[in-house]
Amino acid sequence: MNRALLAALVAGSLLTGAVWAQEAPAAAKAEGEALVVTVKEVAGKAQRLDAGQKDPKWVPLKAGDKLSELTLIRTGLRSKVVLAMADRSTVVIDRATKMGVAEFRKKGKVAKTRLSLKYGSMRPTVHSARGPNDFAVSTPVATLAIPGSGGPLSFCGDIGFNVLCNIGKLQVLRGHRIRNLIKDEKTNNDMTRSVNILKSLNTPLLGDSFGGLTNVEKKYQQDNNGGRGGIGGGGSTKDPLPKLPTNTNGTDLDGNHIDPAYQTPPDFPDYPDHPDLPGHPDP
Amino acid sequence: MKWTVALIGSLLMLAPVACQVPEAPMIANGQTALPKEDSAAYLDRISSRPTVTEADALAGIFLMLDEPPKATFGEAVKALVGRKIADARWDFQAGREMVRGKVAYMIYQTCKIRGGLTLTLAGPSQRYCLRELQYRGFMTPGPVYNIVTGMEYVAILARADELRQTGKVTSTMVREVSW
Repeated sequence: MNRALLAALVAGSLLTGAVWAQEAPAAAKAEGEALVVTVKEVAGKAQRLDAGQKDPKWVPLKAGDKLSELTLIRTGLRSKVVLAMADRSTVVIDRATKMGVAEFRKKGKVAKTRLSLKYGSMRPTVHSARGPNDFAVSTPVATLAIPGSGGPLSFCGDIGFNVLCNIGKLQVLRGHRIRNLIKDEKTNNDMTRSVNILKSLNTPLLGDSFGGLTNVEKKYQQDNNGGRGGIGGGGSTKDPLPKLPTNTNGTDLDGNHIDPAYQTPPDFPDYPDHPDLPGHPDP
Repeated sequence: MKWTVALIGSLLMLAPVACQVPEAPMIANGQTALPKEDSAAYLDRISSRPTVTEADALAGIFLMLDEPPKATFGEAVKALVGRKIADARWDFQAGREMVRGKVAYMIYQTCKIRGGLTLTLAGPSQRYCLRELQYRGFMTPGPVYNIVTGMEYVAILARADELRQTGKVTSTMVREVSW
C-alpha cells in the first residue's frame, strides 16, 4: 500500500514537473514589442479584468481605456464594445460575451493577435492592407485563423461555435479538421460545409425540426411512396417506382433509340472481382 | 339523444372549472433573496454553473426586461405571473433546477413571439413554446423536463435579448442546420 502511495506521489510530482517544464518555454516565447488595445466605444454594461495584476478585480470598461495582454472583457445584455487592436484590426464584442486578449504583440512586421472567446459573439475585422497579421481567435472547441478578413463568430454553450466569413478568407481548425471559408461562407460546430448549410435551409422538412426524417421514416417513404404514418402513406405498397428499362433491345420505354455506348450490357459473365484470381479474363 | 345533449352540456359547464387558473401560485422558499448584480456579472456567474436554479433564472428574466430585480423569489414569481410571463399553475421552488419547458415558456412570453396554429388556438404551454423555440433555432433538441445548464441559459438569454432589441437574431447565434 505504501509503495503504491509513494509511486502515486512520484508520478504526481513528475507530472507537475512536466507542466512547469512546459510553462517555461511558453514564457520565453513572449517576445517582441507588446502592443496596446484601445477601447473605442462602450455601450451598456461592460467590464474588464487585468489578469496580469495582483488581486485582479472587475472594473467598468470605458471608452479610451488602454488594455494590455491578459485582459478579460465581459459584456452584459444590450451591450457592445469596440476595440481597436493598434492600427491592424478592429474587434466588435457583442452582448452577453466573455473574451480575453491572450497575446497582442509585434514581431518584426507581423502583428500577432491571440484572442479567446468563452461565450457570446464578436466580429473581428483584420485590415491586411496595413501590414501582415497573424490573427486567431480560440473558442473552447475550435480555433479560427483570420488572415485578412472579417465576419461574425460566436460560441454558445448549447450549439457550439458558428462563423460567417463576410469579407476575405478565414480558416477554421477543429482537431485535425480544417475548413477554409471565403466570402459569404459559413460553418458550424460540426464543420458543416457552407453549401450543406444552405441546402438544409432550403429543404422543407418533415418530422421533427432538428432531426428531419428518421431513418425509419425515410424507409417508410421509400417503401410506401411518400407519406408519414397516419398522415400520409396512401401510395402503392408494391413497386412504387417504375423499374428502369433493361435496354437490351437498344430502345428506352418510349421506343426511342439509345446510343450503344449508354446501353446496359445484356449480361455480365460471372467473373471473379480481382484480376489475380483464377478465372478472371485479365490475369 | 337527450343523454348526449345532457352529457355535452355538463362537460361544457365543467370545462371552465377544470381549466381555471389558481389565483396564487405555489411558491416554496419565497423569501430566498435574488442576486443583485448587473447583467455582465450575472451572465459570467451563470456560465460557470452546471445548472440554473429557478431563482437565478427569474433574476435573468428581470435583467432581460431591463427592470430592477425583485428582492425575493416570491415577489419575482408574483410579478412574472401577474404579467403572464410565468404560469400561475406551476409550482415554484427557489433552489430547484430550472427545466427547459419553463424557460421556453418565459422566453416565448417575454419576447412576444407568435407561434403556430396550436400555440395560437390553445395558448402558450411549455411543450409547444419549447417546440416553437426549437424550430426557430433558439433552443436545442430535448424534452421539456430536461434541466438547463448555465452556458445554455446564457446563450438563450443572449438570443432573446437580441430578438427583443433588433427583432431578429444573428445567424451565427442560432442553430441553422437541421439535418
